[in-house]
Amino acid sequence: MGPSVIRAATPRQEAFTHKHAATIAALPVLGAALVFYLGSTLWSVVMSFTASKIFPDMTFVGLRQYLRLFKDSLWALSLHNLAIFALGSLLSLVLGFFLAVLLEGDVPGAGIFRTIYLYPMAISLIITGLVWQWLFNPTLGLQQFVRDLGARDFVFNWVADPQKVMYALIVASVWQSTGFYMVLCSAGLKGIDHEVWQASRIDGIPKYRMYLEVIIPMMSFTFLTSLVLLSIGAVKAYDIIVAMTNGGPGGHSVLPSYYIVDMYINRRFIALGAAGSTVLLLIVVAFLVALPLINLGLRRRKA
Amino acid sequence: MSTVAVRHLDKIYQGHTHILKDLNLDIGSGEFLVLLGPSGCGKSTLLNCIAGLLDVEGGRIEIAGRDVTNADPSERGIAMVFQSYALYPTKTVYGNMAFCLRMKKKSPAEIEQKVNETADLLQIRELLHRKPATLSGGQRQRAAIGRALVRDADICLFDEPLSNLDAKLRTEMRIELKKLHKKLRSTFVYVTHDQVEAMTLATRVAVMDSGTFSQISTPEELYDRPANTFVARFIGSPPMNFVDGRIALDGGIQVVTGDGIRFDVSSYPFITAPRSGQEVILGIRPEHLHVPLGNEPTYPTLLSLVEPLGATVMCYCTLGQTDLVASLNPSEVAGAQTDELLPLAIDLSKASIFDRASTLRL
Amino acid sequence: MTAVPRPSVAMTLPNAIPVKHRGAKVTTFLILVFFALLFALPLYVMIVTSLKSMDEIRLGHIFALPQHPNFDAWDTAWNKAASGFTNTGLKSGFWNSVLILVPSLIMSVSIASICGYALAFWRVKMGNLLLSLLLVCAFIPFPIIMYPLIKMTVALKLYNTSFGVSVVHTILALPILTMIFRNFFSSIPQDLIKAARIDGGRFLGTFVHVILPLSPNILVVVAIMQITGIWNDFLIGLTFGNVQSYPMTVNLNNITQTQTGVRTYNIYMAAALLTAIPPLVIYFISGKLFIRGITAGAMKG
Repeated sequence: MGPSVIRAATPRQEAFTHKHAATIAALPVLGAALVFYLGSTLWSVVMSFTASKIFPDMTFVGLRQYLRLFKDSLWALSLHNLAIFALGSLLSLVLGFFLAVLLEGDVPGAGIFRTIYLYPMAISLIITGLVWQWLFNPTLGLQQFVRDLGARDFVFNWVADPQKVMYALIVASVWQSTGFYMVLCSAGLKGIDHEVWQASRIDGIPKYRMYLEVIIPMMSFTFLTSLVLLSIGAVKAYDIIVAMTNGGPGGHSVLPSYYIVDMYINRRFIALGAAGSTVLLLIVVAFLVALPLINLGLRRRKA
Repeated sequence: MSTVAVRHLDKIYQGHTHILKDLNLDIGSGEFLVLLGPSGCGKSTLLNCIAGLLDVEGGRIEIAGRDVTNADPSERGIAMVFQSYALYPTKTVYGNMAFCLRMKKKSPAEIEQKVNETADLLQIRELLHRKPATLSGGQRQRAAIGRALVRDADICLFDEPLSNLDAKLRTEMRIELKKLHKKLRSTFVYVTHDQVEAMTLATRVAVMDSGTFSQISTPEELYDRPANTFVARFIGSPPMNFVDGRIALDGGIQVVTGDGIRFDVSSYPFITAPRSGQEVILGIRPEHLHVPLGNEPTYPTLLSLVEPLGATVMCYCTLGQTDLVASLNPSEVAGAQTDELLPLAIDLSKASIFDRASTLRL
Repeated sequence: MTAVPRPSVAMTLPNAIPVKHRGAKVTTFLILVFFALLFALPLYVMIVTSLKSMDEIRLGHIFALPQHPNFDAWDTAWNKAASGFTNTGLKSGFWNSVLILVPSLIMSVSIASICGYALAFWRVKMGNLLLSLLLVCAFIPFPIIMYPLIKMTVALKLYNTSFGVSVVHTILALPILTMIFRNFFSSIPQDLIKAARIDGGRFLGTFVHVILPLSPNILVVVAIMQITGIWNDFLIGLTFGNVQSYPMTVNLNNITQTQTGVRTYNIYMAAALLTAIPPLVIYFISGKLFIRGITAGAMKG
């Protein structure tokens, strides 16, 4: 380092920077969290009590927007769909756990299987929605395929059926995320002391009993984490709806996120979107509070 | 008929590593057999093979006369206690002990009686409703033993069960295990690398080295008459002194070291007759060296370091080119100065002589 | 003698397995193969469809192999497909995605890593509070911050720009990435930092010379996570970008959502594959690291 032309910092100045360097480093993140997350959330909650339409309008209107929201049958439908979607998503965890268990033994090519189960995670949800829409195509997709095999009256057009379209979304979503939950469960299974397995072999405990009475309870942390992630995923679901059904047929595949974004971008109704967002936030909060409580309750009952 | 018989057992790991080589072992009913050896010698592997947790590539295992080489672990009539206890974490101690009995479809009353009985035996009755995470190391160990004992198996296997306990607890549990064995009179097969455990607990010890048995004898036999240099060094703390030398057969039998020091071993009970010039190792335990009394041959050892241990004093000396450790009484050493001569006598009747090439006892 | 690793319980040779165990193993394998086929099916269909001509597709044999496989659909998708306002295919979208990705990656990783480092080793005022705050932020659903974010990016003149998209991606990644870095750095022994400080190391110096060299694994994992997440994103690119700077996913969606004319599935599938290939390639190359990346994101729970 050559001689510095600028006057070097005095020892006092340097000590200041050094002592506070860590805090300075944390400031951008802190700022982002406060402004972009908390600040935005607060703003939206406030907006939900105003009369804002295309432009913000700070006239306070109390709970009017919420009433409007709940009178909207499309919103009610989106909540209904959210419940179905969240339940259906549980299949990812169940299937993921099942596959993880199968792969626990000495399976040849286990690595290849894992790679195949997991690759859908690398694919955009837009593509996932698109390809499953293609598969569900009535005249050119699965329905036609099975009909060609001989079942002339086979009906499988979930994408066009208002009552079944959510199942189509679930299938696509489960295909996408099962691999991920398989990885989580595999990690959880690996954390189990192999001597516990050996003890069970000496004791003559059948494998399914071990899973039921020992292994699954031991993995409660993994399952809890998975449930949290599944719920966040269900709440976030947007891209896949756009790609697969665009909310159709007749709004029967709308989920709250899709409804809200549509409200902001297309319908230009800020306050209503804000109200919907706030309700969504409350749902997430309720879920996050409920889960640990349920977990604690279960533990207390066992002891 | 022995309770456990191992015949020509071979264990090969991943197609090329020969962990156990043609092992043969008979364990009698009611024995406390300890498998002793350094880490990697294969003792745990052997135990796991007997348990059925590992498959074998050659040989047979018989338990109570039945060929169990291909049988499931739960069908061999054995119970096992693991090093890390391996208790089922989500169950209470009661649940742990009752689990296998439930699988055998015993009635709840039977189960309760059996569990309570075993819990009383191990003094863990008050712990039955607690989960393993809330127990101390020693308590977990008892619970693990309890879980093994409810199986009412004739043979109980132990895989280094005391290694995870602190020194004081280990001593206590050792005594408990010995008492338990006396009371139950079942067969214990016990793996450890700690020779103190082996010497104090065993009726017989099988010392293992690199997948083979080095010597199988009673603890006394192993200590007084080790069959080879490996066993001689492994058993006894501080370890046996080794002196390199050659046999000289002029006027009795003597071992002569490189620097001309002679040891008269004419009264040594040779199993094989020694040959003149044969290269041997003379083994002398530290406690068999003493300050000379009266008319015995003495050796001019040079004292280099003294370690007072209270009841004894560890003296590090050199005799010519050889380093020796002597375990002496404090009174014998009083007045001795380091870097000065300390003449010592050796009780050669207790010594061991090994052929240097084959390491076997002569 | 070297210590022999404790053999796994599952070690067996074929002739040592009793028959009942062998049956279970075969069933397990078959079930795994069945699911593998199910999972691979959509990818197979995508590839196969993209290589067919529209006449073939109209025959409705979705699973059949193409009779005269050709890359015409790929060519159209890349160069000529109508994606909303332009007829230049996906290739502009590809470069837009890259343009969005690179700044996002650099900004998010650098800001998050240095903050994670500060939180792991140094006394940051209210550091624990910040961590709890970040955890809360990770759960806040995007729609509730979406509109205010738009307003703020407009005010910062970042709205409707490619760089604006990058900034939003960075903001959205900061909570989780910071937590991941902090957790990883916490596993580095404190003694190393102490030794560095004794040697006269300062905040930044220690980071660059001591911490970074120990972190290639986590950096790769985080990079993979970010690349996949940002490349595959749709909503942010659509909302905060402009027509010229739409990422590939938005282009893809525009191509497939054209209301006019025939639904040319071969072009759609080719376009989908083109969009999917970059992250897929990264996935297949980095296998284990990818898995660790995903579980890293999950472990904050």
